[in-house]
Amino acid sequence: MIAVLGLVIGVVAGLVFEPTVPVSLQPYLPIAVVAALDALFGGLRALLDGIFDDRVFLVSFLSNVVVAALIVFLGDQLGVGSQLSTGVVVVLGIRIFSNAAAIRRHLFKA
Amino acid sequence: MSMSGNPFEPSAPRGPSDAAAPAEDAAVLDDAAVPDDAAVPENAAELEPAAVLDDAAAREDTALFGDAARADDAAILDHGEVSDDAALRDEPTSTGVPVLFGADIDHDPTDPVVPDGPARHPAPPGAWHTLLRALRPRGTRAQVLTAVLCGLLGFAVVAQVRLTHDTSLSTLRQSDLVEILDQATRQGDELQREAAALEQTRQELESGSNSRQAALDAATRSAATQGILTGRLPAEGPGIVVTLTEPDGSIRPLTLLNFLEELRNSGAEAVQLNDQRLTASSYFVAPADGGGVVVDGATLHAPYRWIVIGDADVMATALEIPGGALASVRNDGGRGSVLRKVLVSVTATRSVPTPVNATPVPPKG
Repeated sequence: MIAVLGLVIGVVAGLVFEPTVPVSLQPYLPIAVVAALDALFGGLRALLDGIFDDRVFLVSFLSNVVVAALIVFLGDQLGVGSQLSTGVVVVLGIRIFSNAAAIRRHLFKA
Repeated sequence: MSMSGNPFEPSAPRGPSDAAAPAEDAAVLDDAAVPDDAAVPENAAELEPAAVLDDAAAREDTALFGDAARADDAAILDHGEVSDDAALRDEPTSTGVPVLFGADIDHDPTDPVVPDGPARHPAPPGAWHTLLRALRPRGTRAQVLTAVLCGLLGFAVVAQVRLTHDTSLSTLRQSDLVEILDQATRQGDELQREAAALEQTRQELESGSNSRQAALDAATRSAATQGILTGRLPAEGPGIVVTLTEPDGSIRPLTLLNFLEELRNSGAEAVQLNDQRLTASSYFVAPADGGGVVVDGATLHAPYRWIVIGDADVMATALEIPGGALASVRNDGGRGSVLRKVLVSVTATRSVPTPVNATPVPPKG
């Protein structure tokens, strides 16, 4: 419940403060968001598996975000930024789907 | 014993003399096989120490390896299961979890972070319970941490969504910009071509409407001209008014017809006699009872009042010539007076019958 509350507060804060993303961060924010989503789904799955650990969740959340942004940054430096970010999004999307499938299996047994 | 047929069993042909050493070897090599030394019962006494030794070693081996293997397996299994490092206890069977976290977990037995037990494979209702338990607001560090991370995620999502909605070009990569520029250029070219085509169409239509307007004007003029000539339209303009009276006799229809012919010869464009419009098809006949004249089916009586549009001077002169129209009127016993006017109005009209047999010759070419 507190997590949902935190999400709502974050959204409201984003709407209220209307943050301007720094130009240097703009290419990485979408990837970071997708990575964070992946971490969130992974955490939910771990919760249902009964092996949730807040430390692991925190570390995986932050490392997912940082690594995803790093990969895209590296791709940008190498001139394959758009392709690499596409690849990252695809991989994270697959993971999100598999985690969502596991969660669904847990909750609905189907 | 299953080990009797083991091809890796080096002690199968072993003799009593060197039984101990190979047995020990075997124990080292194959820890699972050795404890069952009953395979060689005849040498049981001699082998006893070796067996004990082996047993101990083997058990220790098994314990060590087994534990390690099990731990590894568990770790690998868990990794494989969750396929993910997210929120997964890295070493579930080890005691490497820091005391700090362990204490926190232990304080709350209902916390879903319990690493082992039946929660590892929860039943379907258990999953819902787990979820509901997790959703119950508590002040644990895990919940607060998750809330903070979720808030961060929500904030980032909103920021990104707003950024995407703004779609400012400055966020795009160079290749994307080049593509967009290329696309825009292509689109601009296409639009320019389209604009040129439309401009051409507009000019065509304009010239078409111009020519149509010209045709319409010509048709209107032609209609006016023909309307006046056929007596369909009233007309006005300079002309003369001639009044013929009969003080001493009656003017014959033939005299009136000659009078009309004289007017036409002198350029009359529209002629009205009393209330009858005179046209090319007009006729003058004497009525059966003798009085007056029948013009186009209507009987007229003196005084005859001609309203004529045309060149007043020419017509007046033409009427006055000796032996002309007015002379004939006087011969019939009538009197006539000619008034030249700057503006006369021919108001009488007649309807023009639609030709029944005659059709226009289609234009050539």
